[in-house]
Amino acid sequence: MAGAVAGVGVSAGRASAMPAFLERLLGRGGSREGGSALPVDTQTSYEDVTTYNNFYEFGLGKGDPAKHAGRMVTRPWHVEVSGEVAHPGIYAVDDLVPPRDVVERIYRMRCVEAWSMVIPWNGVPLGDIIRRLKPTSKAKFVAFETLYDPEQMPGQKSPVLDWPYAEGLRMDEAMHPLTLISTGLYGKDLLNQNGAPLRLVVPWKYGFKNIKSIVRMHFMETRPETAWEKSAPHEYGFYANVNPDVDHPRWSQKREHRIGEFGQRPTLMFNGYGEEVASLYTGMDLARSF
Amino acid sequence: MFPWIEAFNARVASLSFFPIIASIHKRHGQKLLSLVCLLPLLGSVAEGLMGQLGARPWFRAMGEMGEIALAMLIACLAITPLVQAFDWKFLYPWRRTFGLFAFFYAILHVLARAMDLGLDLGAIMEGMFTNPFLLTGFLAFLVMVPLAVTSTKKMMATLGGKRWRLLHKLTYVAAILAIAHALMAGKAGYINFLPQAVILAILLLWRLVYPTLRKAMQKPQG
Ligand code: HEM
Repeated sequence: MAGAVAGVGVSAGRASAMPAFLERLLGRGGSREGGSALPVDTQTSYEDVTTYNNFYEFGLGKGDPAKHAGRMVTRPWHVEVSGEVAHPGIYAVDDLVPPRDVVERIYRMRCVEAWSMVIPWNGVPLGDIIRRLKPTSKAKFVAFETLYDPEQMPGQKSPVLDWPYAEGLRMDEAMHPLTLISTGLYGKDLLNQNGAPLRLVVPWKYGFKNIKSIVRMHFMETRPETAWEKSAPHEYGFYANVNPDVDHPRWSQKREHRIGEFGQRPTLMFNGYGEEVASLYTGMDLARSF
Repeated sequence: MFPWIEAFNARVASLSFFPIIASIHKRHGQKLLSLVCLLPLLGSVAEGLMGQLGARPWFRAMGEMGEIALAMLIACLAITPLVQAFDWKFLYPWRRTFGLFAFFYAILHVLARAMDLGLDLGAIMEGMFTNPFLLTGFLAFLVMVPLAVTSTKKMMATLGGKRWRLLHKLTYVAAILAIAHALMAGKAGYINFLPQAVILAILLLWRLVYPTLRKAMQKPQG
């Protein structure tokens, strides 16, 4: 599975004859080239991936993280592993996510705000990391926390969310081979605005599940509360699986704007990864467990 | 209303350059104000031509135009209270300019959204009447139409001052709908538009208490 976008073909970005500003306004076009029934997935430019971000710890504007995240110190960096696990402790990033195990994964990333990108991540499957930590039989969930340091993360001075940012996965989601702990993208180390030095990537869930700049992993028996769930439980659920049939209370999730294209394209169930992950949710009412 | 305001206004009027400013305002005030009101649009167009609108240029333009439309609407509503509080009657003609530009930017807001959605009519209309966030925006826009149409002197005369003033109380309805719409916009709109909501609330409150306030202030003089 390594290196593949499940489901849909990917083409690398290509040069265009349009002036840059027009290409910006009217998109690269040709999203249905090659006669494919589904739009082709083209990798989002490095510039867009690194300048259009939601990372409220550095401000609410999409450009704020790129502007303000530079001041965060990401080396040395440690992650505390705790809870229902045989090897708890404080781990340096390279020990938890060994650089020699890093693979490339090209995934679609669908934000809950109805925009999306295609990003070539570098990282280690979370399952491999967790197996080494040996969770106990009581571990049913794993919770993650972002760094809390208002000096480095000025956005934490305003009560937009109940800081620190918190996320969580059910253990089978965490162990799924598509789930990644990323340390880089486009073959380079993660920039701070993208969640350096390590962040979660769960490609079939809305982007806010992909918690950034992780300092804590806690294995637990009960479902952890997540930051967005705490802030607006009727809008952002624990599962947050990409689902075109369940609208956000304030906007539609049927379509999405793929960054770099003009107009919208249909949103795919589980972001197009249904073949791999739908079985995780058999028997669940996805409209209620959204 | 307050003696110190009268004193302040008299002081300003006695400044040596005041007549020049007053005459420029009289002759060119409306044109200059319109020019200023066009600056946000020129800014956005310049950003677009330089490719500076970011990864989602039309979405960004939509946000900018919406914010300006709301700001113009609030500016329009601030005029009467400012005249009442400070006796700055020269501001009255600004009201129409701000109101018309509010409508102008609302149109641009809707057009930018249409571009963001790739001019796909299905996507544009989806949820327009069922999603409270879109419905409030739509109603705000709808309410602004008769206000723009009746903004001319001719229409004012046709309607008669009393009916015209009653009709134009709808500006408050448009603004309340627009702020509700903005507060519901985006993942954290309720945080972004708190200042505007507070200003609007103060303006509304002023209109509600002003008649009483004026009576109370006038009493001692007889
Ligand atoms: C048919 C009418 C309208 C439609 C369909 C519409 C639609 C939208 C949409 C889709 C957004 C973006 C939401 C997001 O951030 O996800 C938005 C935001 C906004 N709209 Fe409207 N709108 C309409 C009318 C208006 C009017 C009349 C005003 C003001 C006078 C207005 C002011 C705003 C403001 C201030 C925002 C927030 C922009 C931001 O977040 O930066 N809208 N509207």
